[in-house]
Amino acid sequence: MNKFGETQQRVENALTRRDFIKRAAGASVLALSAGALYAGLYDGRGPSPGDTGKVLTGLGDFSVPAASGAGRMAIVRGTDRAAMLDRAVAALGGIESFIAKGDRVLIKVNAAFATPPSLGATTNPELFAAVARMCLAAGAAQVLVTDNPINNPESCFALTGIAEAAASTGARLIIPGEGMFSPLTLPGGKLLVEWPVMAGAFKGVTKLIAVAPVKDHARAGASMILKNFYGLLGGRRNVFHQNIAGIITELSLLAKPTLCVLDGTRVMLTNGPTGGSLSDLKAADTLIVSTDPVAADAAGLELLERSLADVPYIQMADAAGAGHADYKLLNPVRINLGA
Amino acid sequence: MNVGSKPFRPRRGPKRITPVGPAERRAGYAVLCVLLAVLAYTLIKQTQFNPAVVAALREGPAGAKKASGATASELAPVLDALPGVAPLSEVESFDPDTLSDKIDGKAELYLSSGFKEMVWRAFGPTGGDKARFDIYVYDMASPESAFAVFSGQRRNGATASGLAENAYSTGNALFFTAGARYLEIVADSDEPAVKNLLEPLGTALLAKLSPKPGEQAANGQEGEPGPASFFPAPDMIPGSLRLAMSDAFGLEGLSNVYTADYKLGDAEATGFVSILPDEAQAQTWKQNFLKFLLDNGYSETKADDAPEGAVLLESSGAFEAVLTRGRLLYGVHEATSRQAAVALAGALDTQAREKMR
Amino acid sequence: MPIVTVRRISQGFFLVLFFWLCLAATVGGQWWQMRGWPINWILGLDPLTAGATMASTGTLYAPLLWSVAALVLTVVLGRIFCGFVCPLGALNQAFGWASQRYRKPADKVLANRPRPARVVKYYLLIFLFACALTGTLLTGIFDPLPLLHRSINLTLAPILDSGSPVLSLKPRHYASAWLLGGVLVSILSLNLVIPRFFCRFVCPLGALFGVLSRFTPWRIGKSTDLCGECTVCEAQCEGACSPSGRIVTGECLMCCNCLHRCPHGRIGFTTAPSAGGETPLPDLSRRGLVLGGAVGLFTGPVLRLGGLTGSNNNPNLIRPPGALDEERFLARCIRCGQCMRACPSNIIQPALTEAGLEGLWTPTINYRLGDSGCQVNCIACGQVCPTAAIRPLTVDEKRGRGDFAAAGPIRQGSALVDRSRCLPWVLDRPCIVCQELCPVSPKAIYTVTTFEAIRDGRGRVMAAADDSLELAGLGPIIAPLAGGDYYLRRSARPDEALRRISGFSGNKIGLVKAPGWNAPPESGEIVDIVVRLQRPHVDASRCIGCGMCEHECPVSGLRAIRVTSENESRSRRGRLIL
Repeated sequence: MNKFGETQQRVENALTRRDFIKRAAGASVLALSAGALYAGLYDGRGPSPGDTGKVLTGLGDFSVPAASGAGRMAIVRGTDRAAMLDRAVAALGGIESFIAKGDRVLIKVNAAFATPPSLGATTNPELFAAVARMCLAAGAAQVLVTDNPINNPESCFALTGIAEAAASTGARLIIPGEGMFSPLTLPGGKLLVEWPVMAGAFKGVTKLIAVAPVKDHARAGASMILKNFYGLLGGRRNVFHQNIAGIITELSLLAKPTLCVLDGTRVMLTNGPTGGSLSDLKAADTLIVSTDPVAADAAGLELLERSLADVPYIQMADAAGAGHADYKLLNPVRINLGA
Repeated sequence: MNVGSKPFRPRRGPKRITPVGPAERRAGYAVLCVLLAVLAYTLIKQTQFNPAVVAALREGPAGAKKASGATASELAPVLDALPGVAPLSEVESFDPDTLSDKIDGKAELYLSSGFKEMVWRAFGPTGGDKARFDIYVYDMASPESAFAVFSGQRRNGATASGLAENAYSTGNALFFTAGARYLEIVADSDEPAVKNLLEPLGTALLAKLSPKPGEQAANGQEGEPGPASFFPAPDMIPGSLRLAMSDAFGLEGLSNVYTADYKLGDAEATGFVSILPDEAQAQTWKQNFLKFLLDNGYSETKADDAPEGAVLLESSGAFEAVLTRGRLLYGVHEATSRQAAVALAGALDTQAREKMR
Repeated sequence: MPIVTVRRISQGFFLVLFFWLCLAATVGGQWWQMRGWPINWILGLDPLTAGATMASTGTLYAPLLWSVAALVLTVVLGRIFCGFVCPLGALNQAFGWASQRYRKPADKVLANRPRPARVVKYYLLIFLFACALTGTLLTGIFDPLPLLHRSINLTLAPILDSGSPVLSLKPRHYASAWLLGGVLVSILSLNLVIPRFFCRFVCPLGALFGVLSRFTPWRIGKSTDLCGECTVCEAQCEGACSPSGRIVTGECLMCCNCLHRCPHGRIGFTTAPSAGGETPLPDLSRRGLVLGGAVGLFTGPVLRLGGLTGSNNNPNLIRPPGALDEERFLARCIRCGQCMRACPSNIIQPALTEAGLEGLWTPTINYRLGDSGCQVNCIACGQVCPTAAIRPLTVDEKRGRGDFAAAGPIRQGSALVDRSRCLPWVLDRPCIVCQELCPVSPKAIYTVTTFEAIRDGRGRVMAAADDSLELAGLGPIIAPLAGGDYYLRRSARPDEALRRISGFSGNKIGLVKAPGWNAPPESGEIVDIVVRLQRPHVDASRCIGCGMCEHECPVSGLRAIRVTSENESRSRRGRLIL
């Protein structure tokens, strides 16, 4: 072969090589993207049974197993709600032990009445905002907040300051609507049989935090964390007032919260649950944070200067297995931030 | 034109001229290796049974539960291993809900007699003979229950067996009780070689079934003579002692009635004995039984020659006699002649008097 | 060893493996039964199934991960799958080869010329993918692997089964198998017209492989343009990809015949492009692709407009236990027929119209066909479904035991007694077959006893004895009066007990003694022969729709107790009972 032919051959070889590399690259990209698609959509478990049409039996267990060594209740004395919350949660192992990255957190507040926060009948918006911020800082994908108020929901959320607090922290306010309620029958329950509950708010939710104030309640004796769950009921729920202790006991079994934040900075000592006068309130300067809603209520009871006998539902809830009425069993961490 | 042409061959095109290069050969071997790998994978995978196959092999027909766990623990080990035979199946356990799956309509008899649990297993002789033994062990509520189902199913032409107090054998099977258990060993043929295995199996099973604490022999009650002893021996047809646990003679509520058949000359009669909890109940049931008989077309007849206190009834040639003594309710049922009825009633009365002293 | 020999061995190997895995898909532990044979392995290799189910469900079901192997192999080496593995390809090639054997070379070249219609499979591919995106999975109808599984499972396999009691104790039946047989015969026969007809014109999997082989570093090609155009290669080309001219690499099936046959060895499998020029895919018109996609996007929703997955569902569509709700089911079922083959009761059948056009050849249950109802402890169908359209259940989940006690058993529907056909309800014949066979405990069928006067059963008492009566005026009675189901009722004395008839001869009716009558019947008194009927009722809160009752009902045509899809677990809509 002459020089020209050799050069031509070399050029052809080079072209072939370049072509080969281009194609090899193309093939690799194709193979890798297919592989990535496979990996991304991989499902090792197969499809779920789906909606089999069974009636709900509960709203979910959102409790987190206690980290070893961490406490399950913290009682903080102080006046700054946000600071007290920080210290209390830190004492329980930090918010990271409760909220993981990507969690969808539902905060159940008490926004039952269209009253301003100063009257203490509803969850304090600053406290709620602190909880929401804490969850988002821990990496929650979304924070939701809801309640099913007695009166007009929009005005309740607005007047209580919850709507504004939600907007400012980036939490999403869920206003109860028709389609949100599904029938639920509590296993062993006598009152919650085929009763509409706000299951729609729990769609995709992985953690539940209850935030409520300590209040007197004319009928129930007290309205704290457990009574707060009343706000998940739909239908003509006033009928349950005939057996208020019974319904609160069943509510304690409805859902297991991740964390309970009981606000006892200003407790409503008289004329609960609506209050109405600032004289109904007393500064107890305490914040109780616990994983056990029954124990939280029992501890809060002391702020109301009542005993367990006055408020039967706490021991009934203990008997039903929702928590411990003797909150001292939890060895609460007591912190004093100065009152 | 070709004369003497070659035989027709299909055109296959020109043959390949170029030889197979090394690259081609290597590629070929690579493919063959992959094929071998696939084959190996397939052969290995086939040893890990699909869950559907596991379920099908394990569960068997619907309802048969495995004798595993605390619920069936007591009985199942009895059928673990027996001399001279090897198991042909797994042990299957049945409770009141599932008993009818195994024995269909016969379950009624057991269920009304206090049935608790049954275990079954099939065995074959180790000797190589092709035979099959089905062994059923029924756990009844009490020795009386066991006796009830034992006696209630006694076959005609049975031969008494010395294996146990309550035992008989037929051409191909052996039936006996052991405390509160009732056992059946049923062979699939009556060949002598097979029959000879029945008794050793029975003995082995008896040895395995240690009596439960507090158990007595089938007809015994602590400190009291058993109902069987109330039946006079003369003229009794052997092996006819039966226990009807409930609804005896068709009278609802009449329970725990022992009966034995007698042949007196040409006539036949059945004696019955029942021990009630107290005298008042014995009287009540006497009245109930009398009313029942009267309702069913019986009428009272004179009973001067019958034992004192006996009521004699008759209906188209069938005679009944009813007596009580203390807690005891006894008498004669379906006697085919008056004479036989009176005679048997008298014998029973004498026996009762003796035992109640 | 020439590569074509290896190719033939490979095709034969996979064909035999395929047939074996089809035959072995029956529940059992013997070596010729399912055991642990990976019966869905070939289906799992299919990237069209994997890709389409990813589009329709948004997930890749784990067993379909095997398709990565076929995919990577194609991306690197070209359509190796079509040439070496695909069992339908092997069959097509065999039939095509047999029909071409004795033809002149010029005719063979003509048979293997590229035809414009070969682009149809690409449009079909786009159509199927677009359809899958809307949630309707139709790939199973055209994809060769499910197609061949279905055809063999439902036509050839049952024919072989009935030939040997070893494979199956009883002959197996499949509804509308004629259609499937017809499809199989058509596909194979078309190879006599054009070799590898299905592969060249219809196969969407082949089209997918064609697209995937766009960047293969190695491909078949001419080493020099100085070939004499003897067209020997064309005469043998299975893919009709013009190896001697401008080769369409996406159409090359890697049969390697050209490589083998070229008299001068000028065709090779190299990194260099073919000297005669190459093009990756045939001329696809953009219009055709867009149209195919658009039609696909349109077809899915259109098929759903009929409401068959919702309020207009067919109550006679009973799906196997563990099947997903209809919408999700139709997004997963590839109509491979594995469940139909594996079902030991032979009740899973390919649907023709039961599930609508979209549900063609999806599994539906026919309790009249087959050996029994759905066996309560059998979980075969879900365990063999390659895409989990039928979920793999455990026996506990199916029966609602253990962890699943709160959820209850899986219900396929509910049986309901047809009181216009049931023997004790309308024919005055005792029958409780359905109640006896109901396998759940406590039974879902209970009976209510009633007594009905039989036809011609009224008589006048002529003479009465304790245990018999002589009657006059009875009509001809053929009922088995002594069977234990017949009683005598005194018409004017309803307070008197019914007495069971123990015998009947001439005019004399024998009666069982107990219970007796308070007052004996008078002469001339009217009595009726009544039959004791235990009338079945279904307790829908316990019925699991297993169809044992329907299967065994002695009313053999339209059964007097039938299972319909109300109350099936998989659908919230059809709840009969809360």
